[in-house]
Amino acid sequence: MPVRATQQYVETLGYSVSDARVTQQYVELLTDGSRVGTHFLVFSEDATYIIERTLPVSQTLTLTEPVDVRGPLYMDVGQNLNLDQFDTQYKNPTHEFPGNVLDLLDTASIGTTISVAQMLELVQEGRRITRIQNVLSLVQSVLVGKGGLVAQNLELVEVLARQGIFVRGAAQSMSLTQSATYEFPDDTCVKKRYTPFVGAGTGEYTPPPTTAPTLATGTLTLTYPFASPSSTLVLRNPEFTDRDMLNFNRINRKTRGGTLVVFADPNWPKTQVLSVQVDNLSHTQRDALITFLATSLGKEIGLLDWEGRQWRGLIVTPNLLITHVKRGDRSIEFDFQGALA
Amino acid sequence: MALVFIEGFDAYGTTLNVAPVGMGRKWGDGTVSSFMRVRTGRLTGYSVSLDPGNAVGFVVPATQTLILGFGFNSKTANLAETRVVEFRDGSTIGINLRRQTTGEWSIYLGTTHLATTSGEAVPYDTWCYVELRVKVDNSAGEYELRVNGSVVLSASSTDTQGGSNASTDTIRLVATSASGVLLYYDDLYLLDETGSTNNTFHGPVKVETIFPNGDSAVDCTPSTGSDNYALLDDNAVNDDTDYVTGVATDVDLYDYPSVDSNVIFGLMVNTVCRETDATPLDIVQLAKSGSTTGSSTAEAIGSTTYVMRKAIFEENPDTSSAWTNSGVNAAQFGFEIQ
Repeated sequence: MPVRATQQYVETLGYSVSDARVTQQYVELLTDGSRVGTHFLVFSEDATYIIERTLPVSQTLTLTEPVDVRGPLYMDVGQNLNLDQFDTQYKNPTHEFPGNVLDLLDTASIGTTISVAQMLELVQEGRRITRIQNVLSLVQSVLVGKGGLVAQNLELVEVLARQGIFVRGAAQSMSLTQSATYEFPDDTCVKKRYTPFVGAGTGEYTPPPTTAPTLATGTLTLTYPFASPSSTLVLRNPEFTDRDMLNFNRINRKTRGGTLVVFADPNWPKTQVLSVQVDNLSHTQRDALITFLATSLGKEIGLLDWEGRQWRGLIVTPNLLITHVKRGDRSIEFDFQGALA
Repeated sequence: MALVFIEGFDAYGTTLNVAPVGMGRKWGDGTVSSFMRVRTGRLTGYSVSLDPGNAVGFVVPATQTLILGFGFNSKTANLAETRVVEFRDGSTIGINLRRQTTGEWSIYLGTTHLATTSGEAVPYDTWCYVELRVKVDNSAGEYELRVNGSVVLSASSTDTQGGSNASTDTIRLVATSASGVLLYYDDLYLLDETGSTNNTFHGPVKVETIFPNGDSAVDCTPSTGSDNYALLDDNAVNDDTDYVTGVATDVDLYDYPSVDSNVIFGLMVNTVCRETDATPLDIVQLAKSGSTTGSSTAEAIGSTTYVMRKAIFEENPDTSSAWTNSGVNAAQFGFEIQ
């Protein structure tokens, strides 16, 4: 039987050596955004004149050096612009207007700041016959001929601009404390008692004491002798008309011309007198007072006044008048001279 | 590793309002589509925007504690709560950051509200720098949210675990909100807390992107012309339009332009490459400083369609200390085929 062949092909197993194709390459750098920037401006201007007499001499040098840095940078920016201008004139005794104008504009702008430093230094010299030199941050001097016009211009613009708005977080702590104190009347009787309610709190307010203060008895207590008293007399509170008198010694002299001269010495003694009036004394208190005066006459006693102050001194009006106002009502008035113990 | 990921969004094209070209090769999770667009950058360069209902993410090794920082701008006024970023365990959403209509910030665990800021609102159409640290744990979890360098929310000893694992393996930028809301992202970094550097918040930072501008020492063959670097500096990437071809042991080192940055926390070398046939090849990212060439771990290309291979260099290999401006400016970067 014949064989029919309708297709034939050969398949080979193998490989060809491959190449590598490269079609793009680039490098990416992760940076903090600051840039290395260099900005030099060197400018030199020389003017030499051999001039006729009476002609004006003028030299103008205007120099502007801007450096703008914009963007969220965090580097210091410094810009120094040094400019020297010399105006030298020789043997020109009749010139009238030596012009020497120096304009300097120094501007530094930055988008955001850590710190911006801008320095502007200016030195300008003016010479005539002998050298005169001024070295100062901002000094301009012109030395002119005798009798000539004098004009001096010093123009300086220095701008420090900041552009950009950046949101920054801000934290501020504030301590606030609060406390409350109030009375808590739970019944009618409590309202009449001293019962402050001190609540909780961390403030610096000092709460009132929880115990009731001791009310003053308002008495006038006389003791004798002052040290180790053996006799004590307690009287009522004095009337409101009591007086506390301070007596200062001084000498008044009037001259023949009528001028009043006052002498005083701080070392001279000063006396203090308490003048009190006590009313509504019983006859028992009256008798006790008479006895106390007789016992302590001319001797130092103690006096504890109605404000709790301890005095030390004498009763200087032992011949005090005891007034019998009405039944059970006797009134006395005396002066006590002394000092606080 | 401390610095895990850097994204400046500057290498996906220079035409505004179009889909970022090649972003999906670096961001392997989610969909990069016309709903993402190239926008003007936060400080310089470009950013990307997300339209509502879109998300894009990248996969990282499962890590318990990560710190994510990114520039953010809610370009339009929000009509509803907007989800901004998610920390994921696989497909399970863990801690996620949301922006309220007032501009305040909220932290959620999945769909469970945890906290909302008060008085920390950032108005719409305003760039801010957001940093979110998340330690994933069922009970000892922690999170801390910083906006423009200031702590606005934080918690500890709390539940931050959304999935079955106490770790995050995917970071997703998301935009789930009402129609019309545009969210801009830029200057993104991700780090873990290992190592002695790059292990804590950096505050507001930026990512600077540079492309090669000269051949230093090249072995590969250019597809056209004689300058290798000129075939790799395209923005956006043009794939097989022009390229260099190399075989095993070929090394290309390129010069790069000077950078402006003063303080450099680290850099990432990104290379878009593919194999032309079945033979597997590896690629190693190189950073040469002085006489020392630092090499990344060899990584398989593993595809005949273009993929992105990248490596982090936190330190200058010549000084074993942080990169400096002059160090980067004098360095060469490139790759080796293995």
